[in-house]
Amino acid sequence: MQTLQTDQITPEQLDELDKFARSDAGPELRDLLLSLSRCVRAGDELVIVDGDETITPSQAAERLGMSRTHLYKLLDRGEILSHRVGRDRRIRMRDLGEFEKQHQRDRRELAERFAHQRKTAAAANDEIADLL
Amino acid sequence: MSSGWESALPRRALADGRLMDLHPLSELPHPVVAKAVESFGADSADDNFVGPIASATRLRLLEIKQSQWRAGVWQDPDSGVCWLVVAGLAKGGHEDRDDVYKRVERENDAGDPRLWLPTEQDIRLLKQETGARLRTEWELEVQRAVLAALSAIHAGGHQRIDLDHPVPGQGSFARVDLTVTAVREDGYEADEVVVDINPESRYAGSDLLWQLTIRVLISIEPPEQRWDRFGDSYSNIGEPGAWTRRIEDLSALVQRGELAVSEPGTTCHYTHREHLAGKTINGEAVRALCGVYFVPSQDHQSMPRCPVCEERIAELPQ
Repeated sequence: MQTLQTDQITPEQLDELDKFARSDAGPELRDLLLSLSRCVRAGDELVIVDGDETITPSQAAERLGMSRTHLYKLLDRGEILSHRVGRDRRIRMRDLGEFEKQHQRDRRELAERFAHQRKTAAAANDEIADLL
Repeated sequence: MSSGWESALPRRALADGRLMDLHPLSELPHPVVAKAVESFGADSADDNFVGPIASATRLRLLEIKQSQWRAGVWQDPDSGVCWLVVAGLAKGGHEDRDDVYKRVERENDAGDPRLWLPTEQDIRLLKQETGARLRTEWELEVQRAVLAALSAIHAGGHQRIDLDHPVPGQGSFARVDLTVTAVREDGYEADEVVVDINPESRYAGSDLLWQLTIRVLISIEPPEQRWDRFGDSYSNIGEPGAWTRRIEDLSALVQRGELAVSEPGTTCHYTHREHLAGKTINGEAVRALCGVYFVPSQDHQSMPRCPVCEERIAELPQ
């Protein structure tokens, strides 16, 4: 596994990359480059992993900074795909990556909801008012 | 009414069309409003008005007196709600053209006195106000229920809270499951809490559901950035004994009838500069170098820097 920091890449450089991807790259390379630049623009760090590599739930919890109990619950519910090796559970990096995309979206929304509590409260008042 | 206001804010809000800022209507800062509120209580037998205003012949208006101020209250026969619909100054022994009764008389005789009645907008404002009151009472109930659950499982266990809709008669709203697990392993000790929120399907994605969610989370642990989320499932990694200690603070709030307040982050983070521009204005969250999401709105100059972010920025190639 390799983690690449993207902080030093400027928006101008990304624009250049997009321009190249749209004009000169073939369809497959274009998709790859555009999704790469999308990730960098979103401020995500890039991690290159072998998708078939597997890790244990404890390793996954540590890597995601997530509560173990929470992770086990999500595994039990099939929110994260896993398989068993003997009695132990293993998670494919590819499946963890899929989960992580949604996880990050949800965390972002929670931060926004915390920041905009007055707006939510006013909208909730309206929802109640509609029923009166 | 152009004078006698104890604060300039309501008239300014009215001029700007910011009607939501007028809430609560019954607490508008004017002596005659206060007098009207005092005069019409929950029990109509105790209502305390001077009598019907004589010059209003087409609509029954009940007179309120407060020093030089006079006001007329109309009682909605359908809902029983009392509305203060006319108000003004008593002038020149009621001979002055600007005297409130003279004005009532003119409007009564010339125009349509239904003009005085509450508009759709007025009725909506009242409903929103009632909504705000029901919501606050509901949140206090949620906070009490979380305290009861936490008191039972602070060191480990599971509790379920079944919650009705804040509007009486609307039935069930959501089920909240709280699980505390004390993890004691070599190198990792924590009291982990998981909160699962299962709304009735018609309330999924509603603002009321968000209100409930935030209320449950703040009741357990006010610092916002300590919460993790996946879908309707939330978790928090507490220090051993954290939830036992929380009970005392939460009990004090419940006893005072106050709602817990969330605590935004206390450190400032590093994030990509180019992502900041629009986000501060739109109130969108950004991801910090340390992985925390935050909405960049606070005055970050005064806050200490996040140590994890500092560590990571030091690792970056220059």
